[in-house]
Amino acid sequence: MIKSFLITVIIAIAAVYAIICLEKHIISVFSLNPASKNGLKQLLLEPFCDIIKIFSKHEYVQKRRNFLFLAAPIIVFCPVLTAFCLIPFNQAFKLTNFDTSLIIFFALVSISVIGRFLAGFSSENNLSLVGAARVVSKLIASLISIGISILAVSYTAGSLNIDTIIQAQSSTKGLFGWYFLPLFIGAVVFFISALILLNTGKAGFISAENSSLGAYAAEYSGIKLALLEISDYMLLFLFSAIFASVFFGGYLNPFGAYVLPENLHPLEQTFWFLVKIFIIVFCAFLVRTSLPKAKSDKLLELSYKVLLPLSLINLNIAVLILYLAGN
Amino acid sequence: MKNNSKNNMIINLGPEKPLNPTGLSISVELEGEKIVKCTPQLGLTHRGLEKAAQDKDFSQYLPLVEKIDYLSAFFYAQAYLSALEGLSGIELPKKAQYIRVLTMELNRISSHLLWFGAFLMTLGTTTPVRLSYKLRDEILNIFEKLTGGRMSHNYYVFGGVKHDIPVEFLAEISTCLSNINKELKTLENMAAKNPIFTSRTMDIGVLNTQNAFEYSITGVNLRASGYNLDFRKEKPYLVYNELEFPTPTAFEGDVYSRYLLRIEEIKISINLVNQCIDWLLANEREKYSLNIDQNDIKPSAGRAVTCTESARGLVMCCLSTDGNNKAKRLKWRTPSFYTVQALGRLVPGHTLEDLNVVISSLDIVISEADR
Repeated sequence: MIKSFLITVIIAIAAVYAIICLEKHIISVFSLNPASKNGLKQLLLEPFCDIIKIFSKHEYVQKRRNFLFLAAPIIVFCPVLTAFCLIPFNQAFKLTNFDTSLIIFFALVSISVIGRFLAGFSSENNLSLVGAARVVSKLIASLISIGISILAVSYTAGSLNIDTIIQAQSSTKGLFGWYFLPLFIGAVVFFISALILLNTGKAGFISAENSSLGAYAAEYSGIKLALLEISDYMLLFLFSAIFASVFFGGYLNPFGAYVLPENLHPLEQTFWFLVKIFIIVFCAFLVRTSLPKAKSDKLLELSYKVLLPLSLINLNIAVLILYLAGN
Repeated sequence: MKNNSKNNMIINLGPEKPLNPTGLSISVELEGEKIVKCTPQLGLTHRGLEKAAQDKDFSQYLPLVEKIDYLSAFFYAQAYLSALEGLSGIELPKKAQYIRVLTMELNRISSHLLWFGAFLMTLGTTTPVRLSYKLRDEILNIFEKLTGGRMSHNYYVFGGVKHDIPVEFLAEISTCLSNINKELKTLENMAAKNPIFTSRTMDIGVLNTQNAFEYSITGVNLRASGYNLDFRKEKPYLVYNELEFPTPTAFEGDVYSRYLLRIEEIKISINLVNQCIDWLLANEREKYSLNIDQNDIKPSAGRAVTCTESARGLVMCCLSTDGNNKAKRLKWRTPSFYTVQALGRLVPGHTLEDLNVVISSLDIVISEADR
């Protein structure tokens, strides 16, 4: 129990560390920042300095702050951390193996949404309250379309276990056996919704600089703000991992006919998984750096009027495919 | 509406973050998502720069003039000095006038480039910001080489400019400008052709001509509202009547048309600088200053009002003297002071997210509004 907890924490720290390094580098390259010419050593050491700085920052908590204000970052952080144990990095190494791990994953993410609302609500600040309402409405809108597009996958695979879904995509066709081909609409809906969901978090918004979106965290400082920000990074990693697992064959390699998954070494499986995750993370950063932020009412419109119907169409396609395959 | 006012939420933003221009405090009344009332509050960066003119003599006050607006220092020095020169009855040498126009237009480009970066920052893009700041930095480098200062230059003196522009330096300026002209297209492609950009800027913060008159708004903000008023054309000062330039106008009055006009102004200013460079190359040997003793400026008693079209609008300097070496009274009319007032009219009806976009589209510098 303690061992698997420690392993989860280590995986989470490594994931956040890698994403921060990647983010710093990608964004400095895209925005012509001279920091992009720094060496690898400096790039790798930078997150350490960030951590030391944010830990040593003076934390400002007013006396009238209530219990919820202190608890909210933990309510955001802990479920997201727990969700790391649900991800199968290879066939041999599984911290948990629930039959409903996909449902558990979304349940945990939804708890962190509550934490975000509590953070804004308990700040006793009108701006934070508006920001919290906005963030929560956006998170829920995107989670609905994500949930329905995932439902199509679990129909096709006949399971809610992430590991089983990955195994169901294994075939001699390799790349062409993955679910992103038959359920293409679902994959697109998942990716766009996940971008909407994650943009609320780590997109330079959290300190409420330019918009009221990140205002739910405006009153936080020091380690509490760090917990909120780190949970955003972890969510980015987790959603990329789930996206890679359900649509892109998780730890399977793309050359199914030549190298069967059973013959792969677990480390090789992990390698393929990480490659997929970081390609997705890269795409997310690419969108983030190159596009302006849309207004949140436009995003809600997109979620409810476009993405939700599309995900329902995708669900119908999945059922149709099952029906045809049954015949 | 009448019964709802009890449930309305009042949010105070600023004077520090989360608003864009530091020093502006805004109180916003929200009805659900919509802003129903917006009250800007000024005065947090007041430095008493008008009163200072009465305590210092004319040459001592000159460096302070450029501190009024740290982004377009040359315009203020020009407004102040032309009032002094008008009262003293001296005629500037042609070359000094051309150099002043050249530096002012460069300043306009640098100010608009900084605005462009800050404006896109409020929309949430990070990539074009660096590019526009990089281009602005090239102009600041030119200023540094020419005047010694990047932001406040102290380059204009009574009766001309401090030193001449070397001929080799003119070539450097024109290569920098052609570079800016080229990169500007990249910047436009990054922003204007993006549907998210247009959806966030079109029909947002519409200022009609009537409202613009009511708030006495000038500059690009007025021209974007459909009234063509440019003081470089209306009351030509220096050598603007010898130069050829259009004054584009838009009729929508929204954020997008303000953006388009500012980009257009950058191109026009580049053209103006090139015209100045041509003249300076042809008339290399002329005098650039009257070489007047700066410590002994004593204009005759009277009152002078001068207009300058700065990057943000009309700058007026009203100087009254009584024959001493100090001003009797100095009054500045700064464009941002009037633009800030219009927020109360522009913002209601929009959501909180649009607030920053509207504010930054007006190109407000708070230190200039407060003086």
